[in-house]
Amino acid sequence: MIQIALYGKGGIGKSTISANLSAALADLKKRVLQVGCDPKHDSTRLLLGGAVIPTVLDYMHETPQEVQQLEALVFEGYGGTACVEAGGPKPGIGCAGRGILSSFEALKRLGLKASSFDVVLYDVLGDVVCGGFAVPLRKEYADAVFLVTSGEYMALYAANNILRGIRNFEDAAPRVAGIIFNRRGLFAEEERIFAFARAVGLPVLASIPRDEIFSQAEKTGKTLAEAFPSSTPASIFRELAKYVETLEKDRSLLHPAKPLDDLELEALVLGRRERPCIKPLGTDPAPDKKTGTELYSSRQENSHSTEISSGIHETKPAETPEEVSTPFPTAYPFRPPLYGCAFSGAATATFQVRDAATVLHGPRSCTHITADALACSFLRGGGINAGEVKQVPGLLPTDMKEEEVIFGGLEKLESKIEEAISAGWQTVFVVNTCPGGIIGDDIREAASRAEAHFLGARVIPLPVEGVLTGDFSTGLLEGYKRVADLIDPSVKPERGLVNIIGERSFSLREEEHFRTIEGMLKKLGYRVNCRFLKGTDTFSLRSFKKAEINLLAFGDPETRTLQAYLSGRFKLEFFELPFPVGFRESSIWVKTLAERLLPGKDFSPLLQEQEELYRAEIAKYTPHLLGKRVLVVSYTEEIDWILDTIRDLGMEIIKVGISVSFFGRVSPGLLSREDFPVERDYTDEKRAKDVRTLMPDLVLSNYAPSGHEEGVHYDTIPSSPQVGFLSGLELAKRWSTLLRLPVVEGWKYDGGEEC
Amino acid sequence: MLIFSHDAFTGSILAAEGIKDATVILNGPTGCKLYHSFLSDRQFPRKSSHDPLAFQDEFYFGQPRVPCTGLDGEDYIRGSLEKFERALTAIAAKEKGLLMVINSPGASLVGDDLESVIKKARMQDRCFVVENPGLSLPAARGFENVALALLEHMKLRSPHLPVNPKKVNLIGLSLLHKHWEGSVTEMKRLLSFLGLEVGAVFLAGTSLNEIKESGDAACNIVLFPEYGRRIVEWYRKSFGTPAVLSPLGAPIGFDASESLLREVATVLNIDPAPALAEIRKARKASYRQISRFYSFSGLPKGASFSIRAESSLALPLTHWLYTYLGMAPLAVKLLPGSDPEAADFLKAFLEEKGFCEAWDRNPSLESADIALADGHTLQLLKAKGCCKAGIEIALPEEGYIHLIPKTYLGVSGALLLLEEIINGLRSN
Repeated sequence: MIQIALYGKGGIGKSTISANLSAALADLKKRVLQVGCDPKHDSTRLLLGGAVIPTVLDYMHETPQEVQQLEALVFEGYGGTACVEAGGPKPGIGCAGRGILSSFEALKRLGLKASSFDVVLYDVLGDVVCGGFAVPLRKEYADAVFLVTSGEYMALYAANNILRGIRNFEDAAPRVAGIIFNRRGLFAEEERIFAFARAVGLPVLASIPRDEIFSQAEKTGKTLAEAFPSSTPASIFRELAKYVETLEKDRSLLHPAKPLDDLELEALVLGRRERPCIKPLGTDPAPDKKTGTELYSSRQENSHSTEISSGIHETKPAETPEEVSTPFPTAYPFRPPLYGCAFSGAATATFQVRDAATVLHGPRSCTHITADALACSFLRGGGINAGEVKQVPGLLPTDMKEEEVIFGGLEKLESKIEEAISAGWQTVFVVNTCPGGIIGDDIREAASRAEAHFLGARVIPLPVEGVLTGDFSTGLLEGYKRVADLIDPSVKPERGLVNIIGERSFSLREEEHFRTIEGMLKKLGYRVNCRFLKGTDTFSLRSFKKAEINLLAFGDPETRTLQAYLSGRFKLEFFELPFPVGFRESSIWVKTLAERLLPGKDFSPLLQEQEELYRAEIAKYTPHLLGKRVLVVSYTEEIDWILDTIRDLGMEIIKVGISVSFFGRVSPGLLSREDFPVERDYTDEKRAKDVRTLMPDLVLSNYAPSGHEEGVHYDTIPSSPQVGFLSGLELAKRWSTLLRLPVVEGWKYDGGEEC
Repeated sequence: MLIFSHDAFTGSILAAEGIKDATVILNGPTGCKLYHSFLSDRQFPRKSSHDPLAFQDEFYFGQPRVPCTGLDGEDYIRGSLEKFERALTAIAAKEKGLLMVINSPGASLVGDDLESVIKKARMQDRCFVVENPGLSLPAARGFENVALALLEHMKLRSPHLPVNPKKVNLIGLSLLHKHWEGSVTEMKRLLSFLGLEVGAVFLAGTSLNEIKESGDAACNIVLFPEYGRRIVEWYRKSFGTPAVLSPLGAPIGFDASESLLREVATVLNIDPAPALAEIRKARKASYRQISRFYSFSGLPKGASFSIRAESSLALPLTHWLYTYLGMAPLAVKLLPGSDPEAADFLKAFLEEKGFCEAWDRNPSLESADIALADGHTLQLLKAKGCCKAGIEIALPEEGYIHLIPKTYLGVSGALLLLEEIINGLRSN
């Protein structure tokens, strides 16, 4: 038994050749299976009297899996050949490569066994553009590959490219049978083919003449073996079939794939040994340093050039071309791994608009993962109170299945958008996932059609396609930008109102922080207009520009990027200091904000009152903590509030370790001017070593280790510290208590081994 | 809508993660990995540390489970083989046992030949690939697909094994099932009354060795039919192992547990009396408490309930709450992927009892005394005033940390359910 894949440029005649070869093999009494691997599904027509058979993919789409049968997919053609067509989506839609993968999986599942045949032929679509079309090249399929080509340069280019692809799949065993030359009747075509064949080390197994007889046979829906058995071309196929018979028994006739590089190919086929000079757009032309450059021209193509007519050339090593510098590096730079995906980030942003729906275009798994986190945050983060009915933001998944991925998911997406609007959502966001992006579903098209159909509805597509767009932060920002489309730029600011920008979606303390800030603002005579984006709605967003000033919840790079975007787009006033954590920051924050909003008004009594309160509280804890030595291990350098608290308590900071980031993020160097040692890329081992050598009383880190070291207390750094004057007190109280508790609790002695 | 059930991608990963000495390698982006690693570690913790600093090896991204290749958009275009090769080498050196490679949905479209990398590394015995995670198919389907792929990969020994008459396998239990550990303990306990030992638990907390030796079991007991029908069919064809399924779905409640144990005893020609005696004892204990509650309140008879769950949970619960406690079903909503036979049985049951309006009704449209669902659904129902008390029977969980192994299966499970129902009604 032998399995053969036929590859070659689109339109080169693979299907015609495959069908004629199958027929010739059938005439040799071989049991033949021909599998068409092209969405056009016309590979087996000539074996079936011109009939078009149902495709595997259409059948899978229309038939429940439990009743699928192989008999519905395999049809008998000329000479008892078995015919199967994989099928695929319409041009420009879906993922044909995935379609081929799914077809092969289905045929295997339904029990199609190659071993039931003597010869299996895979007729594969012209351009192997992704892994799916390379499936026949996998070891469990094709034992041998025939390259079908003409003498045209692009056909040879494609054939050479296919050799590159084959090389990716080869381990030690050669798999290329040779070249089938499908003549176009060009001048010196044969010389080119044989030159190419010699250069890549392959035999030309058959030379198919250009003959009207093929067209005549095609009109009747037949192969030459059936329509014109005595013709010369038919005899060529018979010879080729005999060769296949020989190949079946003798695999030493196979050759390794040895593609040429582009210059070698050009030199061989086009006689061109120099790369033409190119220049980037808008620059001066590069000087032509070589005279007599042999540039290929159409005149030379048709002329009897001395080079080609003198016979078949040995391939010369390509001369080193003059390098034209380009701005693009040849090696791919290291890319740090992405944290999360943009789909999740974008959906997280749009979810915060409570009276809007988000249509999630992708498989259920993407929706589930994102919605699980959003539901947790919504249900536990104060978004909903017991017994109180509140608006739950709409998440509507398209739940893309395999058939949508293969045939395109736009129809389903449009239907889901329609469902959202019909359910009463007047504002609908649309976010795409990796699969939707990979197959090229154009969500903008779906959105604009929906808007045209449903007047008054606003359908906003986000330019996000899962991880194709980037990580979670990238998606979050894109989500913010599209939500910002709802802001009415014509609204004028009013006194007494502020917006809050950049609150976290997944922090359980965010409402607590908001109330603290709200309280502080109230003392200044201000209130919150819009939270961008936390539990807001379209009305608040439309009136966004009513706010006199915008306050940042955080000062991290992502929030600053959002600030820059909103500021640039809407010409907004921003207060530069983010929500304060700890007494010192809060004092500065209130003072600076007050000066900005209410210049000349004296808020020192307010600040003094807070300071007295803070000092009085801190003093309660100082006796237990004075002189204690602290080692801090943190993922982030934004820990001033912890360091301030440690100092205010009279404790000593012996070292700060900044943990390594898995996602390639570089520490901003905020602690470089401090008077204690700071070590970056801090590992678990370094922490253990420092604990042994520096002997701190207290180690603060993002995760407290479950193991135990005698004499050292561990505590966690809150991932979401309390905002405001008194955040340090929360820690002070805790540490003061902690240092009076057992250093190692009993339960820590019970574990440490693997579970 | 806010709460969406797991799909086959999660079902696939958690199936493989249910094997003690196996590791999933996810070929995909970190966005697909982070959640699954968290879920696997929470459902089946194997490391004593949760500190990201302890998992700094490349491909782990600070988590103990489900290392991944960390694909990005560029990899989708250029292919993932290079990253996969590096990941395979690193992870194979670190982890022991079987490695199962599962493609993320995006990676499954690209069609990279991961098998070629495995063959090049000569790891075909130790590693295999699940190319297609099953886009938007139910979790149970992904679970069974991986289970069957595993069985094919392991090439279990010939069917002509002498049958061990005292051994059974438990089939169709996943890490996705709430309280799976307690369920295994309870089933082992009940089966011990029949003189039976449990071999493999397909696929929750079992080992490769147990799976390898599973072919000689006297029968396979299916706990959750959506997760086990195809697997037991495979065993039946490969080894002739008979399968036992309770007609009432999972063994939840006294009736379904009894029914399953009777079936097992019949198939294996064993006297079920000791096991049934255990159930009778529990029935007597529950009678004592229920009767006192009933005489003061008239409850639980007439109290209403709603359910949102897979059919193998919904069917026995509906049946038992109705027949044993006299509670009225207000809404019974099945999750995708439910077993069609169980769904039909349940629908017919509701119609027969005059509660056809409860069939396929969303619990958020009713106001039930007791709701039985996953944690998120319960929180939402409570917040919307759609239930007075909730019993969390499925994932995702609200977050309560359990130290005592619990179960809703078998006798202990029935008693726990009764406790929660009665106290839920008391609190109204």
